[in-house]
Amino acid sequence: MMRFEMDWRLLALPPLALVIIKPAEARVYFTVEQVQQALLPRQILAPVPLRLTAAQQEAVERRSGARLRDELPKIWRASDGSTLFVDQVLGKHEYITYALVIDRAGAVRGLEIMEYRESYGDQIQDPSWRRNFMGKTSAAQLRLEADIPNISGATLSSKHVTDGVRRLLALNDVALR
Amino acid sequence: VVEYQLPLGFGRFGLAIGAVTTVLWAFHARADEPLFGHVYTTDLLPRGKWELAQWATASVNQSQGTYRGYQFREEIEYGVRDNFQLALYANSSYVTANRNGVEGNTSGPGVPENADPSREYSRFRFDSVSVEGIYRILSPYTDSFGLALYLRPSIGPRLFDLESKVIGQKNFLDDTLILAANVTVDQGLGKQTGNPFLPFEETGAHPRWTNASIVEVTAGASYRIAPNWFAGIEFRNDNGFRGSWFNLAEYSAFFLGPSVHYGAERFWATFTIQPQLPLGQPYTEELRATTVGHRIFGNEHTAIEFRLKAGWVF
Repeated sequence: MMRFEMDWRLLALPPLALVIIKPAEARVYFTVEQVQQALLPRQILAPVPLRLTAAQQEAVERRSGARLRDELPKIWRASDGSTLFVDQVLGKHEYITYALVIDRAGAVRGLEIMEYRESYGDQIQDPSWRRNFMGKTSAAQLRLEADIPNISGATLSSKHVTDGVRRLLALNDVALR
Repeated sequence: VVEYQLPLGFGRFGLAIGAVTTVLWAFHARADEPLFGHVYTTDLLPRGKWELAQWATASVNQSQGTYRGYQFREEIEYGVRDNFQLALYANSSYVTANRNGVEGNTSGPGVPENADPSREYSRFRFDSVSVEGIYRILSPYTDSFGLALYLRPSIGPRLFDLESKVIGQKNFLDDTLILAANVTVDQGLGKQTGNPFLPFEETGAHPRWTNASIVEVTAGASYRIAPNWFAGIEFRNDNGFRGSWFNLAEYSAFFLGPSVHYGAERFWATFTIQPQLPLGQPYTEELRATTVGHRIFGNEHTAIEFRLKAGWVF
């Protein structure tokens, strides 16, 4: 007769470990107010409510090749006609929050990483890497290792931020211009 | 040789103690983040990064009686390059068994041949030291799929072993669904104690080194169910051979079970359960004698296996 005795107390241990562990604190580089001031100083910003039709959603995903998240980005229109987006993309463990400014002509004018919570890979914060996005429009390829360099050791984060920028440029074209 | 007896009572709570040890270790330590208990992925440590990790595996129950085997691994990993990682680890084990064999004898993985077959056997021992290297050829984030090669020599007082592995990975749904598969070949020499209960003229009566090899196929799928959390399933098919070069097929055993992974900025943990499926195939008389309900037991496997891995970034 086969016996399947099992010490069920073992199953309690992984949750126990997680209770004991202090949650990771996010590295917050910018709050929303700070990023508004940093990217669009002395501009008057007006929030832009956004609701997408099914056809617009499909158009954004088709143009960008990136899936829209359930939660849409927060959007403000500046007095000079620029648009500020605060959006999130997936990091290895948690969301990466970033801000993007697209000017009146549809080109990237600013990109800042606002919150980053990963073990490593915060080189995506480096200005030299973020400069690669400046001036890019929805006509650009915007692919990692094509026109955007990969950050070795932060491949997932740099890929997802690149995908996010491509998605916002498509969203701007489809719903905001 | 580090080898000593522990009180028999230790076995009673060994499963819980082993896992608590793992948890406590995590506070001092981390390894690279495994989504699975057995299946490796192509994600490696970035260059110049260190991790410490603790593994604890509990193999529980054979055909009858009591059998619990715990394997422990203390590991340090280093990212030599972004696509090449080295690890060094120590392997130890604790076994407690009592009349668990098919014929009611005390036996099983980690129980030496010269153990008294009619009494309980318990022992903690150091097994081996391993060096592990993983080289990534393709990345699942920038190439259409991930591909890596793994090599791990191990050496111990009763073991010389070389394990090699091909690791494949494919990501879907913005990297929230990870599929991975490994093919592993393990070739080694193991020292047998000799069985004093056999007639003197029989081969197995004397201490000797024996050759064995294993081909293992593993596959897993894991989905990001929430920030920090992945849940998945993994499958394992373990094929044992006599001889270092797959000379004689001895058995094929199958496992399937769930895995859960938690990862945060400085800590991760992975827990997996692998019940043996009743699909095992013994190919020799010796293995047929230790197979019950199409599950392979004997010196090879148990009815169910639990594995907890934890790691700490520094």
